[in-house]
Amino acid sequence: EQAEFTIRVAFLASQDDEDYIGAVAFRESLKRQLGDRVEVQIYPSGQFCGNERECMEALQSGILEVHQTTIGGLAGLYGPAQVLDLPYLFANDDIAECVMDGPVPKAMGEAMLKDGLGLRLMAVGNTGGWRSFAMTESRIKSVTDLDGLRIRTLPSALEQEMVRELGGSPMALPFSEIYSALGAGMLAGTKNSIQDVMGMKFDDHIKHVFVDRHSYMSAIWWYSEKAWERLPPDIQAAVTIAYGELAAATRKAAKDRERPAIEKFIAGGGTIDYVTDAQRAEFKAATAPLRDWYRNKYPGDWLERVDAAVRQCESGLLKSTS
Amino acid sequence: MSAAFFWFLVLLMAFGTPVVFALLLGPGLSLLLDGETQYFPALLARFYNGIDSFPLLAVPFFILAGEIMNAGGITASIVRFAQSLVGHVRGGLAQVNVLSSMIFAGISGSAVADASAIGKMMIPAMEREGYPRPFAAAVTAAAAVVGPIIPPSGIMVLYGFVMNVSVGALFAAGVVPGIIIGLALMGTIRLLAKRYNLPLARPRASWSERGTAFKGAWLAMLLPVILLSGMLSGVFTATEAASVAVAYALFVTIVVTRNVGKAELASIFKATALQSGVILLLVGAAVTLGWLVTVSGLAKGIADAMLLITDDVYLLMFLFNLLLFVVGMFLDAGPAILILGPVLSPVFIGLGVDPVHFALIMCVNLTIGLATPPMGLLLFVTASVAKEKVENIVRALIPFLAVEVLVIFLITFFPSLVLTLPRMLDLM
Amino acid sequence: MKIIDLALRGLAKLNAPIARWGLSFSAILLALMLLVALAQILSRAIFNHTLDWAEEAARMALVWSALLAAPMGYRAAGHVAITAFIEGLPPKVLQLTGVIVNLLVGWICLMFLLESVDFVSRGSTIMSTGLGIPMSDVYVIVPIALSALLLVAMEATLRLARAWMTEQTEDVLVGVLPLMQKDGES
Ligand code: NA
Ligand code: NA
Repeated sequence: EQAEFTIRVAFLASQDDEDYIGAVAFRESLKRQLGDRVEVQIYPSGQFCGNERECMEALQSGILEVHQTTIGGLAGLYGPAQVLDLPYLFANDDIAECVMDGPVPKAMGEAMLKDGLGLRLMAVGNTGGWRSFAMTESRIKSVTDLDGLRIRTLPSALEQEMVRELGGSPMALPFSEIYSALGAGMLAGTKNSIQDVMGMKFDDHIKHVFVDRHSYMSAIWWYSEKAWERLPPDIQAAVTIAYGELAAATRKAAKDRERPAIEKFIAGGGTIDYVTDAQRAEFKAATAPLRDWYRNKYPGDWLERVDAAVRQCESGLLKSTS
Repeated sequence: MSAAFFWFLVLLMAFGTPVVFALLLGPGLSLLLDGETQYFPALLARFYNGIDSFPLLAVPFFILAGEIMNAGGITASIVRFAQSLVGHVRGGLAQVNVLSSMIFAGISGSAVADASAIGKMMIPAMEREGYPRPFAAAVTAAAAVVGPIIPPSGIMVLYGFVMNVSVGALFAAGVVPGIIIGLALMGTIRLLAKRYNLPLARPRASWSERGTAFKGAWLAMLLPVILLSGMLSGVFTATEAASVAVAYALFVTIVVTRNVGKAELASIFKATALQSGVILLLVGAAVTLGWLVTVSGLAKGIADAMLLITDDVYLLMFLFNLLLFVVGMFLDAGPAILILGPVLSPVFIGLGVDPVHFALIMCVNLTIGLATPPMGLLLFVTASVAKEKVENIVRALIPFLAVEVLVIFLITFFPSLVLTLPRMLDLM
Repeated sequence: MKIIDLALRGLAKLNAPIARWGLSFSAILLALMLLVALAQILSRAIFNHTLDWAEEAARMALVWSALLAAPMGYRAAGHVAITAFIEGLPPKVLQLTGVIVNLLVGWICLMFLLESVDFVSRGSTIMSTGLGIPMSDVYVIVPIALSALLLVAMEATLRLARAWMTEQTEDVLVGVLPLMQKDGES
């Protein structure tokens, strides 16, 4: 009756999130492959560990098996990973997924393992789609439209720097405070996905969304190295397969949610502006100093490797569709 | 993992172990018994990270604001003003106590601050006028409940942060229930006045006397206006409002009324550090316990059991309130929110209950739990202020608690009492 | 008995100033927290600039402040306890209960203290996101506070054990024994 192994999956997002969908897919995959040999327990909403740092430490000490971090959440542990959060890096889902499944995240995972951080990178999924500029009053057409506007960001240095380079004024605020800060006029806008805008009812105050898809909301899924070493090879193999299904489920969920969210937003009187190629080039140029900022902070060739991976994915995908 | 921690906890608390250590020892002994000491790192990490959270900054700040205003005579001026308004009815001073608490609640975000501020003033005053001491303490404890229900509110900040609900909406949602509780208590005192033979009234204050009293108190009463308009206009967030309250209290007492000196300030900061340290450690320890409650499956067991009994949302809300009331007897409001909120709110939101409504029920019920035995911070505070036995205060408290329980059910089954104001202010 | 007396006196001499200094430091951190929080509001309102280190600094001060006040809380019987159920017990039974309770408190402090070694060393691999310092520099307060609490637990245990062994009936209250008043402090 008793399972041979218990695998605990913990994340900070609630049961409404893509993370939960992914965790359920993970559990079902293992159930299908191994039956009752492994019991998967899912802890959403920070019930097991209350912030990224604590969760990572729980992985390190081997009392938690599975956890998801965003790249921003990883910044304290492995700063160079932020290269994947540089804005306007990926043109669309296909390229983002291609890069995330490619050699760069894999190499980063190996580097972290070699550094003795005790974390095994298993898969990269998505949590919430793409970040875009969601604004209360201003309709964004060019970089100058952001001048002096206060934009909500995560408490990450990279995100704040990006808003500054676009002429705006960043303000880090907990997710739960965004709604009233938008309503009070404390914020002129927020960098969130259209799914989050609709999910949190920000559309009560958000009138315009500039869908520039400036950053892909990756979710990096880990396994505790200490716990990994306890698993026999056949279970390790099954877990690896289950991670693949997890990542695919989160990506699919994020994409499935985007279209209805946009339609609902427009039906409520909101305007959607999809970024044009020219605008994308303009915004990318304006945030180019961010690349130097990164290079100064994290010497090494990660930036070049990511650029190469993007080029490769772009040409590969071109070839496969032609 | 077994649920042995629950029995350890009960036993340790019953034998007088300081609650903060009992909350840590319960899980510690339980894991030791189960041979699962490999989870000790989680206990320590939960304890640390339970304290390491931004909204908890409101805890020391709200206590600090209360202490400064106490020392600066602001509380006294509020009491004088309330007295000029309602001091003339039978049992007038008890009415003054409740009204002062309501006004003070607009300034402070914690029930404990409310009870100690008003209690220090009112309990001796009531005793002088012939009120039995347990009754005076009971009125103070019952009225202090509105402290974190009328905004600002420490526990609502905590709830909003943990459960991703807008704190602004929660604040607005608390206004009407807070006023209802205050008025219900005043009504109860009115009814009890004859039977308990409460002291006769003093003469009705003239309008000019009321004007004078208002002049003394208006600076204090300006603070809720400042806090509310600051939050609504986006100058500061609800979390930051606590620090603005401290700054304002310092400004008024040091610059305007000049009642607080430097030496006094040092001892105020030390007293606050001790008080808030005790509460923060309790929160951290309760988060630790909450981890085991969740991971051992006890929390899910309770939630499942509730759904097993019925799926009728009204009956469930009724049971939910009973559960909260029982939990509130043993746990502090903050920790109880941290433990039960994430477990129960998905159940009810799934059944169509509005998240803000649910949050308010939880906050009001658990705040009233601060005045229920055996574990009730408000009882301990008023007991120490009044130098009166907790048991005697509890006896005098029963009619007031009964009324407050009625209010819980009122706001549970009439959501519009809670939700109308935040909707009008466009906060949800 | 002589050894107990000696140990008690030594512990009191050590614990009293630790608790006092801890509380003073805690109060100073509280003031700093206030300054940081207000600086954030003003910086945003006046310069339209958010201080990205402010939240983290305030949170660190909060944890430090809470932990530094803990020894004083324990020594001054500031931590809440329920005594209603045991008040009627005879003094000797109360004293024995007190010895057991404070021994247990000492045990959990010791367990947490041992655990905190790994906790701090794991922290050295993680940088704080706002201030960019290793988290071990912040976590170091945990073993410090736990050591201080362990010392207070030893003092409380010994004091009650001594009272139990002698005819002394003054020290009875379990776990909520205000050690401090006995030192002639307030
Ligand atoms: Na209040
Ligand atoms: Na209670």
